[in-house]
Amino acid sequence: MSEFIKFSHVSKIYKTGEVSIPALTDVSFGVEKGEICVILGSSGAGKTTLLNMLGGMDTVTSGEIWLDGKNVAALSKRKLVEYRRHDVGFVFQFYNLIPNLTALENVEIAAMLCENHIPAEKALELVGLSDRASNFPAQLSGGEQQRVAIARALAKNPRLLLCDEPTGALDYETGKSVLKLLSQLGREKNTTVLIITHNQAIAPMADRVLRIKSGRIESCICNSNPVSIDNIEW
Amino acid sequence: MKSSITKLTGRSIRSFFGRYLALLMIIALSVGLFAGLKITKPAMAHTAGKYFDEQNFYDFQIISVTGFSGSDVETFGSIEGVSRAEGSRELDALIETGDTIAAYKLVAMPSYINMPSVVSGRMPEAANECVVDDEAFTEEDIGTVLTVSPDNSDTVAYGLTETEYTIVGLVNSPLYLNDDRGTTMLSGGAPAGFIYIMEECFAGDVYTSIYVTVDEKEEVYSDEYDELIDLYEPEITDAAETITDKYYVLTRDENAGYLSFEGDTSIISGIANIFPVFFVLISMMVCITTMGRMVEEERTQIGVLKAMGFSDGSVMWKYMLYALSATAIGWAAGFFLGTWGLPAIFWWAYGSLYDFAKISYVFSPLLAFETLAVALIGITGSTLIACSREFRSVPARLIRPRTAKKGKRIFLEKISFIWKRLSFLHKVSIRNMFRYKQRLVMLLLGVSCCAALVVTAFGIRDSMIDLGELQYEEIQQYDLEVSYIAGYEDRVQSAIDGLPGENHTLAASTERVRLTGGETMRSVQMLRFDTEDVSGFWNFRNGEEELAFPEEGEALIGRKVAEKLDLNIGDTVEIQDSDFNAIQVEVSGIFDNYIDNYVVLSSATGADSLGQWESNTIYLSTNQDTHSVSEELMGISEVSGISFVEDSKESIDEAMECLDYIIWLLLIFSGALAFIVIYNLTNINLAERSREIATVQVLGFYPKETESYVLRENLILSLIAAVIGMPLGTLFHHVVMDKILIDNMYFPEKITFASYVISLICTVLFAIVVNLFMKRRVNKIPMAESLKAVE
Repeated sequence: MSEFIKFSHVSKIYKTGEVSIPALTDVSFGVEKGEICVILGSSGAGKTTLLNMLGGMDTVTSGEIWLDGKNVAALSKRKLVEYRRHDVGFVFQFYNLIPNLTALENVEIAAMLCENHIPAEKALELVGLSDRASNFPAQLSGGEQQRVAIARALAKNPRLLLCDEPTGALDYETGKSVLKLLSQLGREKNTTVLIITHNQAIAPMADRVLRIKSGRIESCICNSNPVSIDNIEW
Repeated sequence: MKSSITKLTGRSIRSFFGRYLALLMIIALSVGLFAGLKITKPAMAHTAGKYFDEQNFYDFQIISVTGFSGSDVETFGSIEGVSRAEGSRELDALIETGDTIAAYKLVAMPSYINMPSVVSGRMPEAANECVVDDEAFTEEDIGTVLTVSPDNSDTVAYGLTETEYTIVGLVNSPLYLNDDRGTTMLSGGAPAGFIYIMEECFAGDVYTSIYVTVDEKEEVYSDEYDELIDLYEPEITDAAETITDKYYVLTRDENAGYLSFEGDTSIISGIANIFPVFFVLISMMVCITTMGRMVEEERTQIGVLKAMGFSDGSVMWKYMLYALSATAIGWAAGFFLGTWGLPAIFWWAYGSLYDFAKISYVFSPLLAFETLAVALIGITGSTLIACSREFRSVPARLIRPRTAKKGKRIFLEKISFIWKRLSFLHKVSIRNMFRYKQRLVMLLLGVSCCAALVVTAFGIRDSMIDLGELQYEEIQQYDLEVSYIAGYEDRVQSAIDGLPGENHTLAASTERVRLTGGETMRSVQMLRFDTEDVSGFWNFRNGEEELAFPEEGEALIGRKVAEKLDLNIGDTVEIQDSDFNAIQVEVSGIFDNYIDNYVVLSSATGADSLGQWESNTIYLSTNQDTHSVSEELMGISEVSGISFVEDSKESIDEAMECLDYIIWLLLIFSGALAFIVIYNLTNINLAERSREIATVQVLGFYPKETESYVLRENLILSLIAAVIGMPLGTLFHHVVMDKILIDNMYFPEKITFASYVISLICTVLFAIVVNLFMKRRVNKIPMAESLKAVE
């Protein structure tokens, strides 16, 4: 089976004036369709850079990023927008909900962008927040906000779900339920899910664990026997 | 401790240079506009005053039908307080240049009073040399020989010792400030220009008039000057009486150029009273938001500084220093550019009417102090307001990011039949509009002010541009006004009857009189008719209503003088003629009149006090060429002057054309205002919402969608504001028109529908342009960075 996501010798160097800071150096790896992949690494290792490039939010300095036979790194600006619009769903550490929109509207704004979207009400139902649909973000707890953010990402029916520290701002129990939701929904819809974390303990739930250190891939291990998040403690 | 704060200030300026510059610019713009507009009228008056001083412009002119001798001149010269009295000699003559012939006013070169100033070439030094009117000749004419035509009457032929004069220079004369060259008995109408020749070229020793200057000097066009004249007038009159019983004492107010200069420039003071106020208001709002935004962005830094033990005062000093330095630079640049540039621009706009001197720079210490004080108080206040909110918090709270402004449903959502119909993104825009109330109010206020200023600018034009047409086509419907010595009506009438074509006439008695109502007195033109039917010559109406001709003891008065004297129908008013005969009449009607002031009586009124009615004027409507008619009638020796309605209309139209430049200037300023307001607010909006904007970009909004997501609310608000600006502009326009104080002109307050439409379009266009400009910034927001962990 060919790889769904394939990084091939990807490097990223940030230039500020005279100084060049390499964020990623010669990164190559692959992820198969429908996998849940956890990316581990300490802060500043280059996890977010990797995710941003895969998500079409940042450009590569060199190398290729293939997604289902399409080189994302070579897309034009316009094509990148289309790519973000149709293929990718993002979940951030700080939710990034639009404060002036209700929970339902936050999902709607994403849903309206895609033809084959999941109706906003349905997406909220999937994350179990139907009863909070008309609340504004400020009226929701952190966990609820993150669930709305997940619903927003799912509503676009993306082929790829990218999560940057989705539990970083949440307490233990809430964090756990969010991870459970992500893995469950990913498996149900056969969506490829990439989750960035610095929490080593959750690695066993993934199909694949990618470790990054100082901008290089340290290891890329397949886990043929993922454990349910309920059975993981940290 | 202060010095590290100063360092931080320097760093803030450098890192947000665009914002610092914007703050500086708005201060410069509003100070410049305020000071510049305020100083323009004084600067123009000062320029005229300086010119009058340098050329020793007269204070009194004494005219006698019989003329004056050298000893008469000395009589005036010996009056205490009189610095100089000088006899003047003038003669209208037909002059040939090449193959053209025209009437010119020949004036003896004065030795002190009313000196012409050389524009190019030199002054005459010999009897066969002359200098000529800068308006009528060009530099190429220097060296040309002017010949006194043999067609001239004997008076001219014997009155001059030379018949040929070589032009040696072009001059301006303080007696002819604008293009009004008075009237001439020759050839009908106005002389083509004036020509100065040496005094010895005039035969005989009779002066046509005497000019007098007094020792004391007062600022020109000031009340103090008027008082000075009132003080000397009786003595001058007494002196004139001892010499002759047929005389006139005239002041500067009887000089057409002097008078119209004040009128033509007074529109500026109308504008100066309203426009700058709004700029100051708006720039203050901009300062508050800018400083507020800055303090908010740096709240973490404030918290850290406070936590380290810096006092509130010393931290606040940083923002004060930032704001005060911007104010100081902005004020200095604005004040000097404004007070130098705006008068220069207006002077240039008026150049076609008045170009007798270069505009002088007037520095007003009071104005400098006022503007600086207002700017400093404004900026200090804004900074304090901006700071106080954050400074009340404890450091620990400041270090944490401010929680985002909560979302809220708006009122409109309750009206579900409207809300339901809106598309999703429109709903979002509308909710966003009401999310930031302060910005909503400021955008509405700023843009509606801009729209209102545009309406005012066009309204001023509407109210003035057709003044000539209104007066000289709708009210004064005749073609020529023939003045003659009273009692010779039959003679003139029979001459007219002998003319070819169709000629209609109306005889009247006209005289300059004083009209007194309450405490106020105005000099007006009195018209008395011995017929009730003046139609076809004069049209006395009040709007749509045609006014009845006044009965005995009644009077119709013009609208402007009625306003000035606070007169209503039924009020009593006193008319006093130049021989101090007076009569009380009742106001029976107030008629629309735009130029000069009139009181209209029937011949029966005042027969016993003002004297038996005797005509001295015939109004003439003709289907022939007015100039040839005038030439015919000028041949009658009793005819003392003919004026053309057409010429009056032309000269007023020319003056009104200057308005177009002023309208442009106001449009540019209004546009700048809209730009600054929208730019500033959008900038803050973008900075505050960068996270939200990055989010929608990540979601996959196309650039166009992102732009309209952020900017649509600007356009909606601008449109609403533009609409609000229409009634607001009508109000501004009223205030401006009210401030234009010209005694002898009445401006009908009106704004055409087209002006409203154009103003609306202009304002929306301004908003669209700023938005186009802002679009680029929207798409420059870096996604990845904006979405990073909270600052």
